[in-house]
Amino acid sequence: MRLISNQKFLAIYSGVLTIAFAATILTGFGENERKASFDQIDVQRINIVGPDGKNQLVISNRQEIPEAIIDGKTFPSHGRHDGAGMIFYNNEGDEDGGMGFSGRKSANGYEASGDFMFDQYKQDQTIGIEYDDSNGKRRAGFHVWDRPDMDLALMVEHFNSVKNMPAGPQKDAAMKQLQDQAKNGEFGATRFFAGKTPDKDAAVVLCDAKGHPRLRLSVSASGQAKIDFLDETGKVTYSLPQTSR
Amino acid sequence: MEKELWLWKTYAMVTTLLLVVLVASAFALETQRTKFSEIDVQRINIVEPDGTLRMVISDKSKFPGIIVKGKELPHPDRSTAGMLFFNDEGTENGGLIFGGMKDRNGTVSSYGHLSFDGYEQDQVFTIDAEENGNSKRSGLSVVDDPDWPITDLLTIPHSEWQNFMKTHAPPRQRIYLGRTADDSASLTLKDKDGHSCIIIKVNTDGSPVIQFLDAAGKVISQLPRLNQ
Repeated sequence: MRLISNQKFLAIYSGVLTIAFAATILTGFGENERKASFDQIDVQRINIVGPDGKNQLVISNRQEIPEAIIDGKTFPSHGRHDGAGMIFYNNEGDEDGGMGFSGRKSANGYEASGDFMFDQYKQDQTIGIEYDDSNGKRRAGFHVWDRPDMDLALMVEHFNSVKNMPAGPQKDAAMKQLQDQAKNGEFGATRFFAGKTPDKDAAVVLCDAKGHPRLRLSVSASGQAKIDFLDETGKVTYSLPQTSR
Repeated sequence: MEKELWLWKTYAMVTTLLLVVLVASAFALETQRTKFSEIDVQRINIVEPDGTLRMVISDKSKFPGIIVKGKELPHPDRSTAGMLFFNDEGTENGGLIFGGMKDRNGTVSSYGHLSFDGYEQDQVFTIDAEENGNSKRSGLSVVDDPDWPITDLLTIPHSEWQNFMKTHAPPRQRIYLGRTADDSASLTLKDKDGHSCIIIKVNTDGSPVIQFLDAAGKVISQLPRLNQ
């Protein structure tokens, strides 16, 4: 009798436990799928993903920050892991902007930066707020850049193919062509800057499509205010206030 | 019989232990600072201890409408990923959104937008990069917002918005600096009615100019002077 009841009890107990166990596991997974609450989380990287699992926004420390990606191709770039930040992605999974910040002692002093940028479609940054500091040589301001309509992935491929050409007159000619194209603003050009320059001027600079400054409003560190109109060679053609001749 | 009992006992003991471990670790999750090396998530809500929403980071599919004092209202045309900021009262007061794609005809649209809003009003400061087909615009704007609460607009049907705006002052851009769709770079200062008063500009052809305008849009003075 005792044996039977003992066994019955155990059977019921085991049955109940099994159900409780299953319910705990199931609701546990259910919560993971839906919603979870934390007071505080420490994390190296957060990927905000769509229902398809693709990144739409990544927040990361400097080690885990993803490389730039366009058309599914990644571009390891210089200084990418200097700072932590956020990277934005467009509907097609291409990087289309970001925010980064860094500061560190270097061999000759220190380097620091902070930037917030939006990119042109499948291209580099077209607008941004930027602070850049190398041992006190600092620039801080608002920028607008022109970018070519060419896909950045193709542009980088082209640069690399020229860089990897065997040394010789053919490579020299191709390099010279790239340099000329860059000088003409074909790979991108600054169009607008408002901020503080490394020369300690507070300035608004407007540039033509090739990136040449053409109109410059500035106040120097010593307080001298002026407006310069320039031609495309950089020569001042008109200036205010007008100096007595 | 003895063997069966032993089996039952062992099973009961193991399940009890597992349940205790699970419950204990669940409680540990709630009270501790939780560590992850990497998280994949569609939406994160940053909340105050009382639940007041202060920031949402989200993909496109879970992106909120317009939240005013914790109440969500539909947004007329926002379909994007990004971040939204909320003030102390749980009302949207800024955000950061971005996206872009090529449609079936090959037309590109792309945007990045960071803005901060007035109290229960629309954006007063924005940074925008915008591309629609061949038209590109990148700039910073400062905007004067009207005094009426934006909830007056948000709580009526979208189809009545146009009528509503006939009797209510619209937001007015006061400062714009950046690249305009006509491929010029400019800094424009405007009066409180939105008329451009000073335009500092490098034209599409590269020529620099500073213009002073009256309220009708007529250039009243220009530098360098035309014969200079």
